[in-house]
Amino acid sequence: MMTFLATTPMGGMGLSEYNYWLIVVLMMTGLYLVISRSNMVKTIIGLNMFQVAVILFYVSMAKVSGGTAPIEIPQLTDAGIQVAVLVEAVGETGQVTDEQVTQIHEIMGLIKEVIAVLPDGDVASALHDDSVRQLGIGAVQRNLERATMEASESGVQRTRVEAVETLERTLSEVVVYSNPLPHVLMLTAIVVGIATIALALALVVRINEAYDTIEEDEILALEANS
Amino acid sequence: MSHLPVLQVIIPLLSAPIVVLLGRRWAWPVTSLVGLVTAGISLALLSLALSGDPMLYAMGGWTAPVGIVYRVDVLSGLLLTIIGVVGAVVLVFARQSVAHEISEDRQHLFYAVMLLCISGLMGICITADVFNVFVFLEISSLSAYALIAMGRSPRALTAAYRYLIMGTIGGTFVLLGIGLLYMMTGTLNMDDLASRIPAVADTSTVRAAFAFMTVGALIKLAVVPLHFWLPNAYTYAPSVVSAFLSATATKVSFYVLVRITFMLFGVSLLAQTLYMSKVLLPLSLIAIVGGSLVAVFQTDVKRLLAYSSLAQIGYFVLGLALHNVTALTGSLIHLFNHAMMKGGLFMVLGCVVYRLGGASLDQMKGLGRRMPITAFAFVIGGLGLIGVPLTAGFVSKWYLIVGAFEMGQWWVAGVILFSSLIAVAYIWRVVEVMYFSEPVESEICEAPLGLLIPTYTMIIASIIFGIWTAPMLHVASSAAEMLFGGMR
Repeated sequence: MMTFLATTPMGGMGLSEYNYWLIVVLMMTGLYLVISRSNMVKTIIGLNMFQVAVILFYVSMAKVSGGTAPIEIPQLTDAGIQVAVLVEAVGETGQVTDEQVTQIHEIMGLIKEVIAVLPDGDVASALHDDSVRQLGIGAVQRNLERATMEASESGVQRTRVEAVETLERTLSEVVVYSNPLPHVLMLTAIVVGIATIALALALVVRINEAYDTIEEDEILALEANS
Repeated sequence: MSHLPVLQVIIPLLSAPIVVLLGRRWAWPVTSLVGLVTAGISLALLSLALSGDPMLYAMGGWTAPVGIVYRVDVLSGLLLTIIGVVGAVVLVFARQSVAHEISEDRQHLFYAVMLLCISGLMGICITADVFNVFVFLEISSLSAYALIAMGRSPRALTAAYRYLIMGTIGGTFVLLGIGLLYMMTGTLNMDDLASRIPAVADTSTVRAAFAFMTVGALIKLAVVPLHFWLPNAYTYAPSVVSAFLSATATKVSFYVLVRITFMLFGVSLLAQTLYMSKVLLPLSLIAIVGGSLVAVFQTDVKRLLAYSSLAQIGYFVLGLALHNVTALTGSLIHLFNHAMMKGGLFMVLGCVVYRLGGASLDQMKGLGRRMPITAFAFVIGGLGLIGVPLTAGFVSKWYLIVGAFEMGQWWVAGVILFSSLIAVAYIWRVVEVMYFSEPVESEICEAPLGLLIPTYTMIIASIIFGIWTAPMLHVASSAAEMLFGGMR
């Protein structure tokens, strides 16, 4: 349930979560502008800062440490499908045949190829991160070696089944990506924000035509006199 | 039948651009037809919701938690009915009132924005996805700002501007609260949230989420002391908009508050934070007394009704704050009754503005002789606001008072009675001017039937539901029991 979050949200409130502190500062600056400014356009700028702070908050909470953009890597998807078929077959029979052992070797070869290429590729920003290189590639390599050893021990069904399980786990460790949902939500929120600012500025234009000023103090004085 | 929940939102939403394309001539007929259709759908949904379990509709066949789900239970059915019925009556009323108050080249745009507003309000009440609530909240709010700004006085512009600033802060607070909840639970679906929040309820993140969402809803609801946008907005908006927004927008905000309190956070967190008795109860009592008191001293009758609305909003919140089934039933009936009464009264003022060009006390002198039918409608609606027996207002206040006694807070009942006495004072001021002052001009100028029939529909409804209380009582009490049942 909580795996989609890499950082503890606000729990510790230490400086390690400085992103949230920055957002609070930005948000309060915006709110202060809204409250303190008499000039309507400046108020609207404050309002926009206030909204942007919340948008940054969503984007920031969606970030998973070392995570990349949730973009599909085709070779890994192929491997994933093969592993899924394999896991299902093994789950039904509880046996791993010699043919399937060959298949495991093929899939592992595929994954090794992808990993070898990825650090130089465009998409795998996650694999440039040191922590991920250690956690990700290291674990993947170790798991692969173990699976290779287990798979080659012919006749021992238990280690063969374990090899399939390791392979499945390995695949899920290759790519870590950030949670895309908050980004999608924020696209909507940004559109709402633009609509609000546009409407607010349109109102200010009309107010300027009617009162010949956009200072709230002066407008209040005019309204009190009328 | 199975697609009714989505049609409820989609029909007005898609009609809005069509009305813009059709232009001036067809704008009103199409809009009022759409209003009648949505009213029919909302009634059908309410009867479906009453007959069984909450109705779920998966958008595009994508079920929760991946897809967005629409959910119709008795509470949302009640709100949909209020919006649908008030919307339909107000749109019928709009033809002559809008023709008089809004320049011809903007009328079709006015109707389009009105449809967007209806669509947004419906969406808030029907969706079971909290982010969707935010989106619809902003659709309805943005269109409300635009509608208010269409008033004739330049002060309508500043009123809309202030409402926009306050409303956007409120909406952004709600958005922030939703973000915090998503952080802790990883879901946006209301049912999932309700089941996952208890496990993490005792964290500062969830408490912050609760605070942000509640304050956001309270701003939109205009609870004292967050009410400063409301009086000007209702005073300077076109008559149709005042009638529509006073009857629907605040009700929907109250619905959001009720959903947040009951469905999402439940009773355990509430008991901890004591926010009911320590925050909502005092605020609602201040609103009830303060709103009525300020209303007495107004010289513009539209403004008087706006301040009276603040007091009525206090009654809604009081029913929530007293925190028992009876009081909440009273609150929910009051949502419906107040929509009829206040909608009707603002429509009466629409008739007055149509003939006299304004609704100040000076202009309404001798109205009893000049526009006898219109003036009489105001008297009946006013009696409802006071809470005289046989009007709808009596039923809701009765339940609130009984609820207060059940909680052993008899002094709250005293405050309700006191506020009703002040209501007598402000309604009497208008009645006195209408019937016991010499008119400025003596010629009779009754409002046209096109305005009087919708006005009387609302006013007579407030009497009918004051005498024939069973149906609304049934809806409100089953909604209240459902809310309290969900908490246990």
